[in-house]
Amino acid sequence: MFRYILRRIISSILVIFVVVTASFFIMRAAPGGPFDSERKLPAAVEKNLKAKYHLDKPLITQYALQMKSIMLEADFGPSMKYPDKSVNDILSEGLPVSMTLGLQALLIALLLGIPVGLYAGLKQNSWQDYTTMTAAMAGVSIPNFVLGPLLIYFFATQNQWFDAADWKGIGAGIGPHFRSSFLPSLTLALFYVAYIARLTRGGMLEIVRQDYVRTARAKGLSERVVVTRHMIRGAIMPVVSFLGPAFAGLMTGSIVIEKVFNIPGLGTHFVQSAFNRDYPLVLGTIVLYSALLVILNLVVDVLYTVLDPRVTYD
Amino acid sequence: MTDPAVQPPGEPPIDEHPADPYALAEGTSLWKDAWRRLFQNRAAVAGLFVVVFMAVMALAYPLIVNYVTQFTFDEQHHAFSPKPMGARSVPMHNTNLIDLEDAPFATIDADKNGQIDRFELSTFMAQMEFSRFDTDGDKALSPDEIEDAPINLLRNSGTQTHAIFDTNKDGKVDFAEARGGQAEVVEILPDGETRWFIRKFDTDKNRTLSVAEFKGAPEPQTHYFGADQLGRDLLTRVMQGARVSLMVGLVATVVSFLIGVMWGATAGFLGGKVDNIMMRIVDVMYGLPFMFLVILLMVIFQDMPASSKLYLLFIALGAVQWLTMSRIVRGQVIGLKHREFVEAARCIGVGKRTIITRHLIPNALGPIIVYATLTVPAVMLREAFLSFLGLGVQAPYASWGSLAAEGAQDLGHPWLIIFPGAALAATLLALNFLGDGLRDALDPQVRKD
Repeated sequence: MFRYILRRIISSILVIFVVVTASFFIMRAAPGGPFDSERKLPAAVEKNLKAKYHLDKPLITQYALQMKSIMLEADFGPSMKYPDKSVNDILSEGLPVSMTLGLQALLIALLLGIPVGLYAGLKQNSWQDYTTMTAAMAGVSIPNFVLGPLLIYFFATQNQWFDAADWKGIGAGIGPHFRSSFLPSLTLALFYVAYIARLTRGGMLEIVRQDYVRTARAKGLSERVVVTRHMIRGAIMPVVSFLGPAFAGLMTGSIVIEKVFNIPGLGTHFVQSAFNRDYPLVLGTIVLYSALLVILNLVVDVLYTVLDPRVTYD
Repeated sequence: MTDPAVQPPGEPPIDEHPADPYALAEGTSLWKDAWRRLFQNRAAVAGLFVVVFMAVMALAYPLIVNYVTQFTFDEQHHAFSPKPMGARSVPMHNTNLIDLEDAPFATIDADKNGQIDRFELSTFMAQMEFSRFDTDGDKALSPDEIEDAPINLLRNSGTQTHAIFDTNKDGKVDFAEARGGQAEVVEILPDGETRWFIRKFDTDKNRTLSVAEFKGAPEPQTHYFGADQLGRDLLTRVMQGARVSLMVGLVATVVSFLIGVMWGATAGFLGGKVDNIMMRIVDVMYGLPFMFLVILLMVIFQDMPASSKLYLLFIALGAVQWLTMSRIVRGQVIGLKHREFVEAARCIGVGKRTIITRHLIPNALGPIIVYATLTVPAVMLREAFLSFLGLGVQAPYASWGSLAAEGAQDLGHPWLIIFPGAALAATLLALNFLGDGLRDALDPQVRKD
């Protein structure tokens, strides 16, 4: 197990390295630079600015410098668009916001999706099953950037039940935080509610035919115990293995949600910094996203062995 | 005693016309069987129907633009935009539209019910257009309020056009006045004054405008889905978006299909070390946050010409999606290449090429088709996602994603997001149902019962 984790960590670092390198060169291959604007800067000023950010050096030197400071010092340097802020500052402001959004969405997805899936699986081929599964298919198909604005329209402008476009962190108190974060979290979660419901139902149908469930029934256990003790655990295994892709999806999804609900998270910075050619900030967000992704994937895989003792990685 | 209608279970029904016992039973091929199963699945059939409908709409787009909406996807009818559903404008292609600089009034009494309740005014120079006009009340609106229909009385004191209706506030339009730089005097007002340039429509000369029509005035056409911020017909744009969205979905799927099949088939066929290395590469790529790189790529090449950007979109989206395809193909090829029927074919001297084309590919095709069908909605969703961020299809072209993005900017006019959003969601839903149905039909063993 330990060797497996070690191997995964090494390959994770490799993945991040590849991503960062690819992003670095994609960005530099593109036309435009951070100091292009409507107003042309005086040549001397531009020269000084470029010198300050090492942009006057050969590309490979820039790459080496950037990598050195990222890998050794975990320092992404100053932002080129917001000179008074370092990239680390911007990231540490955005990360908690995006994490809150993502975790709340995940929580909604699990708390809603698993019970619905279990219910549909237990009532297989009944009208309840067909209704929930059709609804789940619709949930998978409605894009969140369509759902989000509609939710805003109905629940924040037509009825002022929730706030849209005015994010308040947990620090602002539970009430305001809930009012401002419920709609975005729900919007982000809906796809995963539906998908997890489908997965859980599929897992449930598989489990129903297992011998150990029949044995449990044969022992005379009550249906409630059979379901809660024996079936649920097996039925949610597909959900656990889906968590890895789910994290990736939640992160990309949150880019759109942050745009729709005007939330100052990482996604906003990512797209905006790429538009601005703010090279350090782009790299910073990419590294952070990739690191989060590989770490969460690793956690999920380890979790899998805990939940299903039959799976080993050695 | 035995009632033929009540058969004990397990016994075959009594056939009143037994078939020739020596006739050969007609074999059902895998595909025929699959079709039959697919058509028994109501959701899949409905999905197929919706997909075909959307595809026909997209293909028939030039015809529909010509004969139904009559608007082009980028012509703008600014006044009172965004227009709600059912608002009408005079399409610009109409060449017999009176010389616009000369005659600002295009149509009065557009619905020909004898009452002037809709009014159109277009001036070419001012790019202004009164698409709706309702004379029932006498409320005068300031130009700021014009946005908020219903309009009972309109006074638009814009810079170049001035229109006054119902000047004596008796609830009826007695005459219509318009002042514009290029308008000419047609008839003088009753008091003999020409305070400004007036064009009057009073065809039956009874001093009321009961039915008035400009000679040769073109019919205004209905914006069935309303019109967007710039007054572009939404139905036309949604259909144009269907073309782009469906094409992106299809082409990117083909790209992912080609890469995936080649990669997976090579790995599966060669096996051994090559297989190992190729599949490890796939494993590593699975870990990459690909969408971030695609976003980066699209942002960076934002300024590319629209057509080459579309190619970039195809390739970028296809390249993201081929990994799973290659795994499926590899699994299929490995599973099939040692099967008896392949051995048998080899025994009777069938060539390698024929084995691949006649035996391996047809048998591996099922899961591949299923996955490809499910890839289309995934790719379409990604394209819409990118377009929503402003990174996909470029203006003036639209895709469902970019239309939804425009709609999301303006929630005061919800139809702007509802129509493109509904088209997108319905198509994705249909494709998902169809993909699910195909899976059940082609692979009865893994049916979800």
